[in-house]
Amino acid sequence: MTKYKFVGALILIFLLGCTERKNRDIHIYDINSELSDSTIVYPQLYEIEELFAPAQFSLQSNNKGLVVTPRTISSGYSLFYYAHPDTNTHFPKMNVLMKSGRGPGESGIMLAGTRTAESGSLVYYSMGTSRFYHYDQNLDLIKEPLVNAMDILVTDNFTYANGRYYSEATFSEEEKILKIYDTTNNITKTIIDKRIPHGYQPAARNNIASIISTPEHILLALIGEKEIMIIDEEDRISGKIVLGENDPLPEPYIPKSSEDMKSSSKHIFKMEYHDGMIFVLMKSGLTVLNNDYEFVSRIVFKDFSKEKLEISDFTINSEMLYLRKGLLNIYRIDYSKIVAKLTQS
Amino acid sequence: MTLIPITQSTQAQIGVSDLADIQVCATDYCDVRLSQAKVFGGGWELSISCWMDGEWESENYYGSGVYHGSICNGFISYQGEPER
Repeated sequence: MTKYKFVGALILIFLLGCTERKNRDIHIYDINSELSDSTIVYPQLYEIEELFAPAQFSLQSNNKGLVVTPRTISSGYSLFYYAHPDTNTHFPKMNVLMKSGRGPGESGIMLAGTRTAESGSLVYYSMGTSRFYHYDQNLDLIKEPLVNAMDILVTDNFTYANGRYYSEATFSEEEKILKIYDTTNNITKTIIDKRIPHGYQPAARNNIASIISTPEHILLALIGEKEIMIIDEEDRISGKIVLGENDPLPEPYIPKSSEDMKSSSKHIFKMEYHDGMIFVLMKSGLTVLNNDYEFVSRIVFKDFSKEKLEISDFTINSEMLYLRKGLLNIYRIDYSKIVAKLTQS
Repeated sequence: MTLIPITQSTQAQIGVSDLADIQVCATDYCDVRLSQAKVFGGGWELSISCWMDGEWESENYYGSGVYHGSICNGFISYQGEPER
């Protein structure tokens, strides 16, 4: 009898193992073959008074306006916005959101920003004050939680969803890339294996290219990769969106001189979630996916002389699509025209 | 010009702002971020991201110690061995 119980237990363990393996299947959304189709859009040059930096810092926006960070903190403010203008407006008024400093209602340089899918809030992080700054749809500051750097330290890309901050693990010898800090229970965890061991090159392959939140998932793209990881509410990779082949990982090495260093390419420049769609900016244009990660369209941008615009950054909302050509110029186009193009697709 | 002033703090003196620091610099083409852990060995990470020929290219450097140089030329330049 004991023997039969033992065999039965083994069978049960085997079946449970099969079920667990099935539940860990990763769904692949391969849209690479659909990227050959494209539609052309002609945005307008949008002249604003203040340039912004750091160079790769993302534009952010909501239905109220375009939010930028100034080039240098010495200008006296750390965050400002331009309300969405009339189409004939040149040099729109700059509106201050945050002044620089260490006093109440002030911040240091804003290192990074993101927009949440759950409420369309804009969230920024300042190292100087170790705070996150949450702005609602009216760009009113609704909270500015102080977060210990030991819990999470933002030095670049991050996102926020449901009380959780997601950012690169920093100063950590753990072999993980993504750090998650849950403010509801003060628990921190790390996930996603590093591509290159700590201390070796090309270390840039461990960097986040872009990370956003959607109503259901966190989407994460790494430097050197054209696959977007879909992370579920249990912090597992439940799927991948394939927009091409990842760059092969070289054998990790320690450079003897600066000549040994090789750059890594950022293929996914930026992602945003808006209006039930996911917008993915790459060198080839702005790819649009629906909420089921199915291909909708790929948009290529040209100026009115039919020259292709090399877009380094973008932000989209229900009023406008803003585009950054190279590092110096902003272009824009009414969101209604984008919707019309997508409807034709 | 000292690039990274490594400081040591006792546990009692560690505040949020003492744990880490970051310097950010932008040139015409590049974004440079120097992240420094002021405690736990004072290691640093230098991230450079440049917009060139319609693409973003990135490099990361790790290290410890003090280098004399500048981060605001889009690259780290240093002479000799770092001070420890």
